[in-house]
Amino acid sequence: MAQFWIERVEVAGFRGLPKLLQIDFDRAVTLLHGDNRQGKSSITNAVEWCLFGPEIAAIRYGEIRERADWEVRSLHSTKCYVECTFRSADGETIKARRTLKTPRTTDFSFETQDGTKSADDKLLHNLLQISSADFVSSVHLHPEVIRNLLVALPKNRKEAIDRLLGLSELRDLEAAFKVQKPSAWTSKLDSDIESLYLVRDSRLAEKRKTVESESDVLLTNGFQQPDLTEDGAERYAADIAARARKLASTFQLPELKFTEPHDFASLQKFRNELDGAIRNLQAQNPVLKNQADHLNRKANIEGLRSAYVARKNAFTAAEQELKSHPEVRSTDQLDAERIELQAQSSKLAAEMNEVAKNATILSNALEFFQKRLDAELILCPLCGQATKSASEWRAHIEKEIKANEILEALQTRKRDLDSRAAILDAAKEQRLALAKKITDEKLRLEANIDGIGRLLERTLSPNDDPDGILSSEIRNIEDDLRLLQNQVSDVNAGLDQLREASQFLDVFARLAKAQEEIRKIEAISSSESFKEVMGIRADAEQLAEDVELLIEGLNSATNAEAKKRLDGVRASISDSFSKITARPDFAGLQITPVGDDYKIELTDNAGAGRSALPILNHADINCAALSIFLSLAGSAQISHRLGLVMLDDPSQSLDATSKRNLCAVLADLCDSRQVIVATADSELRNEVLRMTKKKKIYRLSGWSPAEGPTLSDEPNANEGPTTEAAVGTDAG
Amino acid sequence: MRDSTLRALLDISTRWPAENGKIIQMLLAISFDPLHGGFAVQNYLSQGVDVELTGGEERFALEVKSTLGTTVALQEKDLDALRVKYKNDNYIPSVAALRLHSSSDWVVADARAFGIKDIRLTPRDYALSRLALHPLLQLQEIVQREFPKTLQSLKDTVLSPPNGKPLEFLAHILERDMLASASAI
Repeated sequence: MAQFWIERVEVAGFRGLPKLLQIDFDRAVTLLHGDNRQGKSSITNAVEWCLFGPEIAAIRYGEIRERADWEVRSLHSTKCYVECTFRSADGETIKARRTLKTPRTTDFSFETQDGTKSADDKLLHNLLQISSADFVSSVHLHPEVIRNLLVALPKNRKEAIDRLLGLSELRDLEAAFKVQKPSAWTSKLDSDIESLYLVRDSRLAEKRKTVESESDVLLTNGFQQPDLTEDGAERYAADIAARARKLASTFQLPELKFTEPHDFASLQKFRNELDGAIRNLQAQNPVLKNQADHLNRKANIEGLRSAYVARKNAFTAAEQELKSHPEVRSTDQLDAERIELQAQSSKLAAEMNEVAKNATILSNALEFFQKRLDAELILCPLCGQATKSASEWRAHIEKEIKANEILEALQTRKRDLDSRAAILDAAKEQRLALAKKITDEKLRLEANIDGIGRLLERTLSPNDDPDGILSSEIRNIEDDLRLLQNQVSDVNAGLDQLREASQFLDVFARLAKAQEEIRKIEAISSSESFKEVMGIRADAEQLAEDVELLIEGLNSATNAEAKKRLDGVRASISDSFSKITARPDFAGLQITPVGDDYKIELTDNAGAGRSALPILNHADINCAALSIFLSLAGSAQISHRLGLVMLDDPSQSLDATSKRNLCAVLADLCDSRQVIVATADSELRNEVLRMTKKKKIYRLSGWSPAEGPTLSDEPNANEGPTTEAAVGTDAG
Repeated sequence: MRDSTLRALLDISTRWPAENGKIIQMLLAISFDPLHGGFAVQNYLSQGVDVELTGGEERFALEVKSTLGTTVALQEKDLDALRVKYKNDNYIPSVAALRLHSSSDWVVADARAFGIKDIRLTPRDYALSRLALHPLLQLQEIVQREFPKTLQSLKDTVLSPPNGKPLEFLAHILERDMLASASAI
């Protein structure tokens, strides 16, 4: 199929070209000449931007960032578009136009001569059979590629050679996969799964410790290892239930109410119910109640007995008091003697009364005579006959008074009698009081005995010995209490044993729970979810391996492609290098892919190779880059349909001879390719002028930010064949 | 692997830290021997592949690796030994790897992996999970089944070997099994 060359470029508002600029490329060679910053590169960049748009800016070629984040639109223009017209040797034309829509998007359209229109630039790429990678490797030699060869850092050099070979896309793809570090995917996944296992193992260890400690509790309490199972726990619970029933039966206790254990799940319910039943039984234990009744009865009887003994003692004491009283006579005797004493007293009283009367008279008479003179004769007041003197009368009366002194004796006797009577009265009173006391004590004693009879529910005869009966009753009660105490002790011991035994059910429960949790934790490994996780993990591993294989495959394919491409142009590269550098010592240059790198060797005249980089200077390296590029661009094996080569600032570091030689190589290239050179180098311009090919030289000058460059044709440049004639009609 | 297996391996690792890898290799070899896995076994402790198995028409060359981590390092000499047995003697090259961890079990990976006429593996650290992508199930199932039994039956003696040399003891066991098998034939 015929190749296309570029016929015309119309550009406005693109980078350094703010105003409309129309450039015709109708010669085999076009030179864009001008000082730096005159818009030369903007013209060559405009062509690739028209074809590839933002894609070309987005391409990252390793460290090469020549178009990264470039400003597409001129700051002094409101619109930005590039229109390129391509023409083939057989006259077919394609007009492509790209307009900047937003800083990141464009509108694209192209139209072919036959009227085909499309807004799809991929369709145009298909039509021209070119990719952006092909374009930058075999159409447009950018100065940055050359600079990277010159920098000579192995990595940058390799990338630059990759770029020249059009392999950057593959290398970037490989690098993009590598940077993902597929092994790290599974490492992270492994780390996460490891964490899960750590948690699992930690839980397992904890549960196993529980199993161990709970098992120890059971084993040290008489259980055997084979018993430490759910079946063993069920058997044990059934045994406890049987023991509970037997205990109730033995001590005639109310039935312990609990649900019979029937499986392991019911053990906890059984244990709780049994515990409750034990608590209830202890709160309402009939044996204990019986014991309390006995104790109460014993206390009552002991109280009665004490009271009885006290009463009996009081009664006996009263009797004894009476018996020991000094007055032994009876009341009647005392009464009779009292009457006798009374009679004697009365008689004495009468005598004393009589005596008392005489004494009064005598006293009065004495008082009368004492008031008379001693010699006064005074008739007897009684008989009136005898006459005596007062003194005689006084003596007589005093004699009479003396005779009346018997009254005192009477009085003494009477007092004695009265005293004896009072003693008798007192004795009688005492005896009566003692008798009453005996009666009272007897009544109390009888009441006590009645109380005893009522308590004992029997009638006590006078011959009964209440104390003995009560003591006997107390002994009986105490015997009963001893029996009850044993029963209570046995029941409590039995209940305590049951409670203690049931506590082992808790141990069984904890043991079983821990065992179950261990089973569950261990079962995680065989669960569907876990398998799913491990499946994902295996898938991730597979994916990682696949990606690593892909990386290896990409690497192999890229290296193979590099070898293939270099093989196709190996002779041409060496020949071009030889032509451009014209080194007398080394006849050629060999570039061979070795692993992920390139071996660059100079071949001497004998055909021996030597590592080139220690030998080559900057200019030689530039020549090497130009050789590779131009060989690839001019290769008959080239697959795209753009018969166009653009070199931007190709003469870096070249001396005048090399520039001339470069132009000679370019002249050869013109046989099959349209050549566009952008340079500020006047020597190169002059060498281009010397080329015999038909050429056009544009002068770019007077660039200003608002107006851009002034474009002018240089005179005497239009010599040589036209583009059509020079390139031929069929690139194939 | 089972907890008991892991505990036994860790006990051995603690008791014989220097010989641990070779002890595991010997235990693996015994697990494959005629009385266990049904293979004629040749165990090597110093050079070439670690273990050679022959059973009927099939022959396997095993490189044995054990680790506490998640990866095993395959070195050029390991792979060279497998490559030689593969190319020269038509042994199936394989890597038997065991991580001493409760989540892991033996992985026996086919070093050919993709069936090309060279072993696929290159010298580097391999995650066991990566090796597990290419299992030699025929061997892996045997070792996963037999190794725990072999270990449990021999661990006490390995921990306290009669002459204080566990590898000699295990070599004796392997030799005994091989002789017993030969006698039976």
